[in-house]
Amino acid sequence: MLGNSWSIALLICSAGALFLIVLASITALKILVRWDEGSDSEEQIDLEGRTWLAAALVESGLTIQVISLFLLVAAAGDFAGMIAGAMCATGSFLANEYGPISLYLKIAGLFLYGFWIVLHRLDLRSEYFPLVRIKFIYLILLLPFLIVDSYYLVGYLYNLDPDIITSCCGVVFADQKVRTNFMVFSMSSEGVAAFFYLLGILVLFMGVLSLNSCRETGQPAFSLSFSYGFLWFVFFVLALIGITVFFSSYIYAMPHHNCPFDILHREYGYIGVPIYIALFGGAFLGMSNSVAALFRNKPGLSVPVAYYQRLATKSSILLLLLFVSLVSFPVLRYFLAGGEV
Amino acid sequence: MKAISKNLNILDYAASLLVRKKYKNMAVLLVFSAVIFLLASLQLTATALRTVADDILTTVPDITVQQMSAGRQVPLEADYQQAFSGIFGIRELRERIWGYYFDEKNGANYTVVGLAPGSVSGGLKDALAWGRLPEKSGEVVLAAPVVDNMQLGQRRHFSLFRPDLSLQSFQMVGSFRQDTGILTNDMMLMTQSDAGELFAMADGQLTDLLVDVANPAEIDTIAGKIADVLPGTRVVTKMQIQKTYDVVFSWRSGFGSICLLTSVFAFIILAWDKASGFSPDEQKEMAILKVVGWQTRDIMLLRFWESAVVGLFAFLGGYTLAWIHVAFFDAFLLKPVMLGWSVLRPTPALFPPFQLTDFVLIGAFSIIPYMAATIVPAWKSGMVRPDSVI
Repeated sequence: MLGNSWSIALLICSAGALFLIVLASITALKILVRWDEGSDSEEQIDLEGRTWLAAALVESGLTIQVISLFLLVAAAGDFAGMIAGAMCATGSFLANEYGPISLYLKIAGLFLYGFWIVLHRLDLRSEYFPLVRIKFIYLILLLPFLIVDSYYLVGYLYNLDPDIITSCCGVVFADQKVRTNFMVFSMSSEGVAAFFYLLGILVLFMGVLSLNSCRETGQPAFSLSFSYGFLWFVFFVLALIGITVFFSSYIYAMPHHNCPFDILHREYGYIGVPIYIALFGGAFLGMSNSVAALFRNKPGLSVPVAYYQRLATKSSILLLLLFVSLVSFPVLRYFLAGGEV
Repeated sequence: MKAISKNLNILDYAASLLVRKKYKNMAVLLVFSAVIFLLASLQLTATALRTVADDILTTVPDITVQQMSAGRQVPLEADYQQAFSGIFGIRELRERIWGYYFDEKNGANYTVVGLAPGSVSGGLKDALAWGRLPEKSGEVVLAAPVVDNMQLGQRRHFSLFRPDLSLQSFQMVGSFRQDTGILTNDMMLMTQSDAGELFAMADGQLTDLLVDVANPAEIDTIAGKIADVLPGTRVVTKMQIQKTYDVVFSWRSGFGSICLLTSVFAFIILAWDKASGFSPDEQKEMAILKVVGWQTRDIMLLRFWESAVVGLFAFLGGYTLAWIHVAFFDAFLLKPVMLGWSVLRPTPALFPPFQLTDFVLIGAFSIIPYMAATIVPAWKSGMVRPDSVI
């Protein structure tokens, strides 16, 4: 279904992002080969200028990635009207094996580009440019990732088969047994919810501990930052599962309606938008905390890294609280008021 | 806060730069708006048509059964009752005869629909502008365009030719509303026996069977059972019709978008070219900014805001014009692409809803390539060496 408007928009975004990251990688290669931080030659000044170009290109790439994630979800919602057995975006994603992977890659891309931007911003804070090599090698590694991303996107769109009435056959009852969930669990949805809250409390606890250790020593211990980021990663995955199997049905007020995408629609007051912004924002800040911690011993970076960590930890805790209250409200409303009010 | 006020100041400066070179920027703005206008018109027409189709399809029966022979539709014999008796969950079973009547006088095809009195579904009942449904032989309900096309004027009586050229007379007892045009625009609704007589079909033959199902969740199962008991029939569900409409409209708008992509790319090349070719004056200005302390990133930010302002205005202008074009002028430029197969072309009132997804979709088509094309030129202008220009 490459000829659909959504597909074309997604392909344009993909081509745009590839174009930007290829340009950025070429710049990165030039910088990696010729960088000499001790020199003050004209070439070195030119290379320092080129870091701006690379940064702007990656930042634009990230923006495009955010838009294309939104487009992909919206497109899948729209495709549901054309694919046999698909009632919502979940069904569209599961229509072929490329769909879920494409979605996961797009989500992962957000974090990968975002981390690069964090590194770049930190690098600028130090007069020694301590992260130049690391960040440009990282940038070049983003290119194969993006190519894989584009491959899965094209694969997904190309293999989508719209369900149309053809005059040659009787009944088109194509495979309608689309699974309703991305993952099949042995754990009950209540179990997932319990685990979700437990982990949420743990993340919060670790965050507060981290902030405390910041206050005392000026910088949180590496193990603390690292576990905080790691916990956020686990919480992020669990939260996505939790929304799908537990929280969404309270938002829809329907026990058997489990879909992580429909909460983004107007029927449910676009409640999914703040939910996902809080979750993605919190997870990004939380995880980038550990990424930043990796480089705190580089020359000139200890102060900026500590500053960033404090800021990121505080913001991620706030976003965590916001996220948990947003998803818990419909559940509370159900248990306290006995249904929708 | 500092970052916001810095951005606002740079935005302010970018706006003053744009105003200073207003003719050059106006040209870019106009071309970009025109490109967005075309893309948005296509998308909005498709969205509006899908909304219309979705509304209309609520009146379609859950399952339609047609007899096929050698891959073509043929009349269905009316001895199906026996076969259906074993299928539970069917709420209502209706017979229908329908076909096209070619009017030689003006080359129009009318859709003749014959239903037994009392078995007309709620949708058609509600579609009446005035009058009543046909109850006995000789009565017919027409759509206003059919009345105009046959030049009936105020007359209520007219005749149609049977295949053997004998005349069959009718009396008009009602008319359809305008807003159901996509369904009823070329329709003549009469009794089933009249339609059979007009098309000279043998007694007991029908075109199709309409099945309404009590529980919507059972539609597919019942459709499957019908296909089993009536081999050689085509069984079509409402959902399939809806999906087909969706596919057709989205395919047509997608195809249109592909055709328009060339203009998008032409524009992007223009934008790239315009952004890279600085005049000596501009170079001097950037050099002076750098001398007074601007960094490369500040100048890039300035350039970014310049393109963002142009992009935003072009988007708003193009989108608004497209919306007006679709809502008030019935998308007259694009409708032939999206619709159109009969002389009495249906004229549904198109009213594209404002959808966030449409905004993002059209933005992805236009603004993303534009912004991507201006980054490198922006950086180049930020890399101006003051000593080599001034």
